[in-house]
Amino acid sequence: MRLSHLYLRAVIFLFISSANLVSEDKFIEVLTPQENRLQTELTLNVVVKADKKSVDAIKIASPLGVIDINLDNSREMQCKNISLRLGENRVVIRSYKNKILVDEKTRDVYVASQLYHQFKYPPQKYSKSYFHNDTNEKSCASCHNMSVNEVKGVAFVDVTKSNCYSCHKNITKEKYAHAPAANWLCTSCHDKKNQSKYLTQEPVNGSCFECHEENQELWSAAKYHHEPLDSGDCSRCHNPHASPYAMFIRKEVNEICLGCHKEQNSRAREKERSGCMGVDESQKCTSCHTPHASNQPFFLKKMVNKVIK
Amino acid sequence: MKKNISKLLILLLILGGAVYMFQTYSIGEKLGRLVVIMGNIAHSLQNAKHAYEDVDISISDDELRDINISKISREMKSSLDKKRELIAPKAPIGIKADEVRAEEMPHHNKLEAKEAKIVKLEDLPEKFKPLKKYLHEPFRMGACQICHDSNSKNPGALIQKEIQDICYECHKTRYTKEFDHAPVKDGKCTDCHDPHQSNVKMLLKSDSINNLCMSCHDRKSTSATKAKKLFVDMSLETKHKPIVEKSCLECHEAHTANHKSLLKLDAKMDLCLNCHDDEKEKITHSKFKHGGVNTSQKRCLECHDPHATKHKKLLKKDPVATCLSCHDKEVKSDEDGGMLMNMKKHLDENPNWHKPIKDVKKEGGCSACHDPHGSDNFSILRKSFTKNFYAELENKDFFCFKCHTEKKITKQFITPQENNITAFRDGNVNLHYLHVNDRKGRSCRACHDEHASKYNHLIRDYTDFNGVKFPLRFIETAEGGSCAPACHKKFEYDRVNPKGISK
Repeated sequence: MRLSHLYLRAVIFLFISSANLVSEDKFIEVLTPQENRLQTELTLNVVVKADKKSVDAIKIASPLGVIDINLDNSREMQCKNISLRLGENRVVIRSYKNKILVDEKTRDVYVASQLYHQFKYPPQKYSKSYFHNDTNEKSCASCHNMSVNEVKGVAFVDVTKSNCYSCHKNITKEKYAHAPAANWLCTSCHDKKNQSKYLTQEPVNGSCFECHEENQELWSAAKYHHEPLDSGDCSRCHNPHASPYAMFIRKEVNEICLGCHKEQNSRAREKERSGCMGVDESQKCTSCHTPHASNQPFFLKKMVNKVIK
Repeated sequence: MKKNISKLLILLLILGGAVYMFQTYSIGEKLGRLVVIMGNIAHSLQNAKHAYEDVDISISDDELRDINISKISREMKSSLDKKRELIAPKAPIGIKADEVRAEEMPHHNKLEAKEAKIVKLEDLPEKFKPLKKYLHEPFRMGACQICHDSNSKNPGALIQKEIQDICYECHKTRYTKEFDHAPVKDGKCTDCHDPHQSNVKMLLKSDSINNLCMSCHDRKSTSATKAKKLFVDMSLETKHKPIVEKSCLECHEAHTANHKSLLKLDAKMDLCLNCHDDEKEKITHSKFKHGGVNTSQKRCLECHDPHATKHKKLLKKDPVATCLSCHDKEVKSDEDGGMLMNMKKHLDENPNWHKPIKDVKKEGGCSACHDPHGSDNFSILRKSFTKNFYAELENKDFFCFKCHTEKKITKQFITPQENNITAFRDGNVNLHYLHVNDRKGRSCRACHDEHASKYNHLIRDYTDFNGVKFPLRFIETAEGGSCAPACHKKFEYDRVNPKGISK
């Protein structure tokens, strides 16, 4: 690149930037995510309001890559759904005019997970935010129907007809999808109204047991209960929307278990476990233990007489 | 017991009387009075046997025939009078004394005054010849003057203006229950009976009881202008057996009855169940009862016509239409108080019907699976089924397999020779087996609608799971199809080029 060219670019940039000083958000305005957002899902909706005259391209950079937003000039707002990783994510929204960077907005998003010690406790600056309030919805309403068009108790034949689908479609795009989610019966769980219109109840198990009542009966009758079962946090291990793993568990079985039961991960224990687990690669924690409730100590599936050494 | 007590009382009286007499009279007197008293006692005991309760108050036709009319008319009169005396003190049960028509017509004096004049057979007018099989007794005996006025110049003039007055002279104390047959009420005995002779018993004016009834009650006749229910069309193919094999009088009374439509018993149920024992058991003792027969207004007659219809089982309409005449709206279930679906709407909206409904004539319609009289299985099904989405394979003793082969769900792999067992297979993998052979095996109704569907194979558009209706999103192709229900994502199957579906 020639020096003169670079100089020219710098001048234009400075020129535009100086104009920018008058009103800081002239190029793009980020509606969501807000600063230091805390969430548990691995997808994020980025909604920006771009000034059509001064911006002709927007790119979103996240730890998982850079994505273009296709600017639709007929729309007031531009939105894009991106994927995130666990932990801290720096999302940078860059706007360009004639391939020259004109504006840059940075948002830090933390994806927490109860399954990993390192992602269990997000730094203090992060806080939960809620999108579905009247003010935010108004800004989407020009393109999206923000009402609920779900008929209670009847699933969509064509799920793309759901008003929720267009913004949240990515959450069910996994191998195994939970029926209410895959059929976009969102309000069967997201039926509580507080900071947002569509919150779930706390703890979440009340919603779960509405359908899985047989399990509730079975487990509550058992002698020993696994802690997440008693605390009602089903979604700690299960993803209620979709998962690449059967039973909608968030990770592979052993990975989930060892997230909390760290002591079992030590080398010493590994040797101990090799008695059963080492023999067969297909053996999992759940080959011997039942993850919810059991009448045997250590959540064993059956009573064992001989302790494995 | 009563008799014993009365005898004991009599004995005590005798004893008391004896003691009294011994004190009062001389021995000769005593003996004389004792004889008289004993005689009186014997007499009263004798008479007690003839107490009113022991006498049959009605005069049967046979009895009347037994009366020797040859000794007409004095003897007949006296014999009748004897009967009348016995009857007179008390009116028949449930009838006020002034209603007993016999009481209103004391014609004895007239009869008595007449001289017995017997008309000989050869003297009878020509129109009565040749004589028929059954003859009215007065006619047979040539006692024309019992009914006819022999002094009148008009031949055939009657002794009474009203014919019924003459009939009731002998045939008394009848036809006075709650409901009367119109001719009876109008006193037109001769509308049905010939007063002289007939080839049919009871001197009927027709060649049979049924034809006599039908001469007025034929729906096709021109006289059928009154309320339609009074008329029947016996030309229809299905006829009630008693009418064909016996007569209308199996159920109806000819003259008078305590039940509507001159029926012998209550029309709604009792009369029918009097013969239909097997249904009686079902209707009254089933665990699950059909409101249509148990709580409806017309009971049996809601669905059945008691005379004749075009349809089997004497149904008023064809089997499916009969059911839909009530199930054309949501009906409250007697079983659990819930609402039963509007079946007519369901059938109207879904063109593919289950064979028993589609092929009514051959398969029998709804009643192929449901027993309209009641059943011990839910939804008055004839055999067991499940209400559940899930059902373990061992417990799938379903009614469905009466027609559909059980191999559909028990064979894991289908050999080419057995291809007709099921078309729901991916190559040779039986997908029915895959769906139902499991701890959480599904029942038939998880995917199939037992009545009707928009799709082939009675595949449901929605399956009910925990109160939520999930669409199956079934798409059929030439050699297979695909489903994308709530249970799994879209899976395709193909009979010729397997898509590789396995567990």
